Amino acid sequence: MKNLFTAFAVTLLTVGMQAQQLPSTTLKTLDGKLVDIKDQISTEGPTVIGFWATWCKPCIKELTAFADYAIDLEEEYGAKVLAVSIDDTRNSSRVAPMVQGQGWEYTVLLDENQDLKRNLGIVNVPFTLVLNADGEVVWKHSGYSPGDEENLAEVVAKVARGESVEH
Amino acid sequence: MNRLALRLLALLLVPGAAIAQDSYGGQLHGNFQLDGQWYLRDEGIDPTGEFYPDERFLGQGYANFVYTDGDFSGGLRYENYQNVMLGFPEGYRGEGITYRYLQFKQDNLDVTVGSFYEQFGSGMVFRSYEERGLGYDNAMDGVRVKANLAKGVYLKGVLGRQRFYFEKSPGLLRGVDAEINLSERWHALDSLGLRWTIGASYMSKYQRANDPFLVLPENVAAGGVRSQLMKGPWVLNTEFAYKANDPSADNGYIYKDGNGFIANLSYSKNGLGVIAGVKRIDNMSFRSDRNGSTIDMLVNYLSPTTEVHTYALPALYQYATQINGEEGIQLEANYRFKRKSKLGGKYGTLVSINYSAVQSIDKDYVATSNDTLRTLQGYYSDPLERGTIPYFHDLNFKISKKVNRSFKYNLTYLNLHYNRSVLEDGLGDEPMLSNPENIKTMDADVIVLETLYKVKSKHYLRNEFQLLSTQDDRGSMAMALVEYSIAPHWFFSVQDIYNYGNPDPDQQLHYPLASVVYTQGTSRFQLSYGRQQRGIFCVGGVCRVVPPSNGVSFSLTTSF
Amino acid sequence: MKQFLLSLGIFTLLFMTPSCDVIDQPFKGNIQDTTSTQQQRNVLIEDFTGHRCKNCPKASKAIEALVDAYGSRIIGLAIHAGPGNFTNTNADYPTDFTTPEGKAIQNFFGTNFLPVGMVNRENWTASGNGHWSAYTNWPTLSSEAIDSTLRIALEASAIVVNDTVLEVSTEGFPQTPLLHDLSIVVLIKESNIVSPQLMPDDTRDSDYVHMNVLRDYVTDTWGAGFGTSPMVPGDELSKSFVGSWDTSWIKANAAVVVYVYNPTNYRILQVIEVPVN
Repeated sequence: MKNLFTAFAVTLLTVGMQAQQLPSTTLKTLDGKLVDIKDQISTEGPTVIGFWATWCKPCIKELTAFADYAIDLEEEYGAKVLAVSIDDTRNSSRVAPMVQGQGWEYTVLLDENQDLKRNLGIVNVPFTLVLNADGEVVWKHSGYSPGDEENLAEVVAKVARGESVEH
Repeated sequence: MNRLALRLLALLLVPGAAIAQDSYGGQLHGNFQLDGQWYLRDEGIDPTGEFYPDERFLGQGYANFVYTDGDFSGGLRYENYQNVMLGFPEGYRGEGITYRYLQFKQDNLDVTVGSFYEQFGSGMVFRSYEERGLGYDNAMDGVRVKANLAKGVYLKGVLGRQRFYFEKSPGLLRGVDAEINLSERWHALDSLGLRWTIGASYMSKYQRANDPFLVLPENVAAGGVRSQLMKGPWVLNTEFAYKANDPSADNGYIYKDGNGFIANLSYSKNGLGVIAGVKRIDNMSFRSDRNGSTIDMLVNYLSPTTEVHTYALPALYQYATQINGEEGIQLEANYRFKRKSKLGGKYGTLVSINYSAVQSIDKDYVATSNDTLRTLQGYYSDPLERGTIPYFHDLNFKISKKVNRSFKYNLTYLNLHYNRSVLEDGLGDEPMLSNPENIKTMDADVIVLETLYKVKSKHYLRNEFQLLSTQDDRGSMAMALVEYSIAPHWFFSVQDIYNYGNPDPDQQLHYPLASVVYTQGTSRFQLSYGRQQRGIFCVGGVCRVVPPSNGVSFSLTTSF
Repeated sequence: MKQFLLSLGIFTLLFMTPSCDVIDQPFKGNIQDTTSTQQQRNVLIEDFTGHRCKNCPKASKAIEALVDAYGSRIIGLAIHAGPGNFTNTNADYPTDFTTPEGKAIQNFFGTNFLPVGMVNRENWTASGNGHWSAYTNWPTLSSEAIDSTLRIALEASAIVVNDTVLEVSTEGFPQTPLLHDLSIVVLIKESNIVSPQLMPDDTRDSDYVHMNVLRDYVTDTWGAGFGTSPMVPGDELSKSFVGSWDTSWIKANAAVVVYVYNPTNYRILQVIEVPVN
């Protein structure tokens, strides 16, 4: 058993070094169109992808706390923020009213069957990815504790300036 | 093809090797989770030791690997339970590869062989999905074909059997779903500002039958139609499903057909979001084993129309859909008072209100002695007649406000009514109608105040105070929680629930719990020590008691 | 458009051809009386139950219905074992029906749900759940087991001597060649015990009649060796056992159950029930 876990750990480390692209996956927009996530990312600047759900308190806190930073990052660096909801059909019809109520200005996409979540190997939401203008995943973070949004804003700014980022 | 096979082999045998083959341009994603708990004997919460496991230490883990290379992808999951932790389904015994698939996607065609998750519409006819944290997984093992036949026309076909722990369901599933985005096909709709999508689905199961007393249907079919209509800020969703006679352990082997209806209307614009929904389901339990129970081998998903609460105290009394029949409504409104307005203050104020209520459906039982035609219909139900047994209601208000740059709060009030006879004991309507005085309920008022204070850059202090006030069940409880986080790595939390209102003085206990979390990028390690209360975990009308426990638990998750 | 319709047609054919059986007359005719002078394959239904488990009376009813249909070829055994909140005693449910052997079996086969059961312990695998079945599935499983070939016939007699000693003698007659070892288990059950039971409508029935209650094992839980491979028709196996008899048990309501199983996969090859003299 122990050996197996060691093997996993080694695999994880090796993989961690790799620059990754997003796997092509179909998502739904709020007006019911099917789109590929690859066509939604920005080619001019960094893209932030935040995975969330209507029932996930830390997710909502993260997206709310980040909203102020997002406006500045978009103006200064042409950054784009995608909020991908993994809500299933119990809650997916509550997504649009909630986004309005929260006053978020993010592009919201629905991953009802959780295909993208699975393809990216995400365990739990919230989960945040930052992509550079070439569409490479350069930073990932799972979970949210207050203050993470400051860190995320710094990362996005660095990515936009072409600096390297570390966890 | 050889190259594909080689790549596949490399992926399946040596995940590391596949990554090293950078020239192929493929990529590997995945995740890994390991949970364990060392249990301590605690006479306070478990006087007789009936929940104390013999093993003392229980642990379980899994790893997922998904490899994608252009049009091709494949993946697998390894799971182990040594042994399964308290509160998880006992069916998880041992270890093995429980999920593996290959998928090919090109232009308008998408073919998957092996394991897959899929759903038709909202899932009233078919949904296979996983909820790892709850131990729920009804993945299909078979073939799935998705095709985009023409502009705006999407077809899905599935064939296979469902996962049943480390085995497969005895029943075979075959289904097809069609969805047409009318606005993509007819631009006239677009010019009217309408977006309209319609869909239809069909699912049939086959299970051998050899009952000496009854003629059981070996093939049972269900079908549904749905529509989503949008105009400006308005969205109207409707779905209707029908299921043919399906005598099962759930419905007591009656031959009545089943049906379900869900509709909701929402409006979202300028900081206002409103949604109103109704639903009614009647005898819609649909499993790939007619003898299945609890969370096993459910073919469809009947989404509950109540709000999910994540605060610890209201989460003790969660609603679960009653698959044999229920009707309910839900109303929700969110509004954001603008910045610098009178009520909005400097940063704006968010208020929301949610009301949901669920009750039994009308049932006119056919007594066995009166069933002269011997058709075993069980009961007749008039959809226009209201049921009389309340199952659940929840009325709640939330205010969330940022006072200044370093202080925010959320205030929540909930009023809950919870039918314990239905939701904990799984009692049917018939005994409750004949003995209404025996129905056990729980009525509670809950107040939650959550505050967030910024100490300095990247240092935050979060508090929660919760009070659940009730005369019923375990009585009133109070909870306090303090969390200190240092972004982006550290997180400390201490909480205590005090069940001061328990009618049994010996059970007026404290449930303290302390945790430390360390996050490094996508890896997260959590260590907790403390007592956990008895809880209830419900899916599809059957509830399982999650026993109380005391001990040291850890959890490691990572994704790559 | 033509191609579109064609594809649609193929799709539909592929996935929708399976139809749906709509049944107007659910009841089958009467089951033919299959008892004959020759011994046939009998069925042991081990019904895991508890006096505080409200759905459990439904399972005993299911056994009753099968006994009505198939007579003595169905042998029920109510094993009170499982989660404490279903089987423990309290002021309302004072009788302790649990036995150490029952708990050992429940632990070994691994379940925490009630009611649940095993029919001839078919389909056992170390990590699976295939051997467990819901009471709603017992009619199907029993009717399949009853139709299967008898591989060994059993005979037994049981007598209580000096009020406290139970003597059981058993004999086995292979009907087909047997290429595995056999184990034999002898146990005592008692019926018509009046004691409170929680009922499906959540009420307490203080005069509930408990049937087929496991009282004690004469052998140990996993029995004793009975025959070694190979065995052929014409062989005669025999073994005698001595156990203790509790004077509180009523002989007229008690019975001795004897079964023979394959120790490698736990499948029960034959089971019989004899009165206590």
